[in-house]
Amino acid sequence: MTAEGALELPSLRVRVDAARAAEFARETGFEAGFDGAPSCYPAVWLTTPAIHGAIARICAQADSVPVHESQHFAYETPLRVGEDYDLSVSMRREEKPPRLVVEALLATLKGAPVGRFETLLRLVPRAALRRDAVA
Amino acid sequence: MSAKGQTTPPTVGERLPAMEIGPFDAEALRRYAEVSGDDNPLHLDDALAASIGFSAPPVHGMKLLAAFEPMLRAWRADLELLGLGGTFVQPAPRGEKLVLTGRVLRSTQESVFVRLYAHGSARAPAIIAEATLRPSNATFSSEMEGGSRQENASRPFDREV
Repeated sequence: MTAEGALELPSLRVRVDAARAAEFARETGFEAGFDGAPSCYPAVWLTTPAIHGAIARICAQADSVPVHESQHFAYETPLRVGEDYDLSVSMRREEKPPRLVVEALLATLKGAPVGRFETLLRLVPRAALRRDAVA
Repeated sequence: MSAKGQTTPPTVGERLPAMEIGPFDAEALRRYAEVSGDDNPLHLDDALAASIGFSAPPVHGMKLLAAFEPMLRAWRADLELLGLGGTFVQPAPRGEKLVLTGRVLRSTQESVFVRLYAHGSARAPAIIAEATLRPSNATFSSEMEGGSRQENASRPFDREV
């Protein structure tokens, strides 16, 4: 991916796993017995090897570490526990300041839009981290 | 205010009941790392966190952002969340309590826009966030209170402060 270019990953099949959604809800403060899908649950998909690996490669090329700067989730229809979805992910670099923008579109298996997610990662040069650690 | 049975939109300027969360210990961060897959050692390794100047490993920002949803549900169970997002302004060290607060910035029959904050002990907030909600089943009654503002549902990544 060039500095100004964009990278599109192959579409991923993802699922709102009932047990994982329940555990995610428990660890993020939902009331006991909540059996839905937390709106932030798609964060778990961003850590899958295909996405996390792509982010890691871009960071390595930039000799930087990613710092999570912001995160947004927007829905047209609610997430449903047990459902399978298709997740389309694209990434692009911004230079001033250095950032990686990860955008994801979630759709039903029939193609109906469900949600849109945006992850903003600040790319901090490793050299700057080393300087800060010494300072 | 009862969270159930609300039939009117919130009033612009209404403050949500504050919610205290944490303090989160190392085991809580380990559990979140496991369920989320975010196993960044910065959140789990005291020595690594110290090496880059943190007094303690920071709590995962996503764990804190996600905590706004139960707060919103406790406030108004008749509203469903359309959008939730936030900026991670500064790290919240492990072991600190945080207070979640919020205020209604826009409110119409169709949608409600809420500004949210997560504050630890530091002066600046750990997270500045926003949520867009709408009535979960039916539209509100016509008894509008206060400043009805523009529709927001079509702008889910609204960044207005």
